[in-house]
Amino acid sequence: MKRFLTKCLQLETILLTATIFLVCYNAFFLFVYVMTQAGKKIAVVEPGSQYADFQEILHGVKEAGFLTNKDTSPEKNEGEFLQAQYFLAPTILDLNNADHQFVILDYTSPVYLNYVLKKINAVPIKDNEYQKILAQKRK
Amino acid sequence: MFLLAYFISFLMGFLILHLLTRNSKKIPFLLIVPLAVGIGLGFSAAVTFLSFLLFNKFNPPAITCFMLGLLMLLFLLNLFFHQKQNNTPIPPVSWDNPPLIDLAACALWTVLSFVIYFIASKHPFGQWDAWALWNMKTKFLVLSGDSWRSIFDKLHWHTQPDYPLLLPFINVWIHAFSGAPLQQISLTTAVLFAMSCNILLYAGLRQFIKKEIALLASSLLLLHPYYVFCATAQYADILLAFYLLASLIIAMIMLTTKNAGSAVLLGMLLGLLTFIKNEGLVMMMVLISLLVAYLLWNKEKDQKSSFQQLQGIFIGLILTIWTTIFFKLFLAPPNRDILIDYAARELRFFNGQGVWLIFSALGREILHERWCHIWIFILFIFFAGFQKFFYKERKILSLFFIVYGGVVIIIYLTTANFDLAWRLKSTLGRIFFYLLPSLLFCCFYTFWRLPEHTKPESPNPRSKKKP
Repeated sequence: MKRFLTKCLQLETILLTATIFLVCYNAFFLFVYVMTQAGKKIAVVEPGSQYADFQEILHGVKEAGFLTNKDTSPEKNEGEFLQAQYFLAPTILDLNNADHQFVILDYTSPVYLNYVLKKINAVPIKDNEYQKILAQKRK
Repeated sequence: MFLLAYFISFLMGFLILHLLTRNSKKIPFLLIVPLAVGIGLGFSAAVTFLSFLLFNKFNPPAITCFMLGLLMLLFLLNLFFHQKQNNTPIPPVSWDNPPLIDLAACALWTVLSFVIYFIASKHPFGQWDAWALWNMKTKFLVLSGDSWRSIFDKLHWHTQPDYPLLLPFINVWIHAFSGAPLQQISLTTAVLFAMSCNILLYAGLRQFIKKEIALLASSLLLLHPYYVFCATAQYADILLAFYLLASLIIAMIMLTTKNAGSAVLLGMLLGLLTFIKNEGLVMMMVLISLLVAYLLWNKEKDQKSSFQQLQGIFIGLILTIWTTIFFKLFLAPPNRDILIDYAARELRFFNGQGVWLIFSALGREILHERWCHIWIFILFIFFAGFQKFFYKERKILSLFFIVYGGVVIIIYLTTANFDLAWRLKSTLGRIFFYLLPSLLFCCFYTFWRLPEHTKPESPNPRSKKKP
């Protein structure tokens, strides 16, 4: 009995017990995680699919502008620019630079959109329900 | 069809390992499998990168021809060396009468591979950095024709254009051979590395500790919900985790067996590590420095064999690090986070406030519920067996993590382009993730290491000499 207790109180035994406990603990939470994922019914949408309408027009275009009044700082941006870049690759999107024939506009209000279109002398050629607009510069 | 591409890479890795270990003792099958995956896919990425440099565009027939040519060359080399040594060409793999524990491990992994694939399919496009960086660059490489170099000079700095491209080139190779959708390939690569990392942990530990404890260690990793989530997020961090773990395992094998083939293999793995992310470059430099210091200044070591091992490491390194050297010298822009002109930049966090932010973030991350207390467990092992962690070759592992941790803290303190609190929140979890498999290896290896004269592996009957 004494030998058994001594063995139980050895550091290796304690650590082994802790390891077994942790494995069971992890297995339980992995099971919970799998079950919550299995219960999810929402379809996963490809990032940047809100710009899908522009893909055909921008096919073969090497560079396009991307204008926005949303926060584009690394800390607070919502990823709109990066999503557009991912979806429309290999077209390179130039953030906040209107010196391109095609320009994507992502603004929080139509008032800003109209002002910017007038300022950069462009006409909208495609828009969608996500309030994204693809504009082309007037010649 | 795209699984065939992975198999070709695996075969390439297998032949490279076979070539490197032809003069050494038998390698366990379970260690060969994950190493072959890592080496094979790494070399496939390097060959794909080479084809881009030569043809200046995505050229699937050229990539496929290069790969098959290299495969043929490796096969012929293996045949030649085995004929020269009058050995049978059968690979020196020992797995006669596999113990029950290995079969139990394989059964567990088979079941869990379905679970991991299921979890990966629930975020099929990965997390933020997966589509914003890695998969976006993969698309660029495949679709941009001869303007693929725009990745480095025209893409916005948010896309980290200075990051090396091992993961995208692996996916490009698979796409070049099979034509499969890029999204499916990215998902499969993530799942493959997640499983391989776990098998590698088990097989690596099994060389040095009891197999039952090795299985516990690998179960601790593979059953960890946050590990599974991060591993299937399609980030390059799972590659960092895998190659770092492989490097540390092979380093320990090299130091205990003094085998030249292991030294070359270690060099190759370190070279591939540098082509994953900039962190890989730091890891390689720290590990090489520690190994050089250990081999040259350890009085117990035979100087001649130490020099041979260092020679082997550098030969292996040259075979794979050329990709990173070329990339950094001729393609990638400078990294914005590594500051050269400290005097000109305002280091807002290089003070007590920065130190407090970092250590409080570390404490929060260690205690965070998503980690299921694994960091408390690891810290407990470290402090409980503190002296063991600095005994003989184990000090290399411990010092590696201490030095690497110090480098990471300095990089955080010299943050100039971001808010430090945000940076810690976004990146600390990922650092913990890619260090986890290696730390588990370090803890279990150090604490449960069998005495050196004890061989955990049963001898292969085919290795016995005839009377």
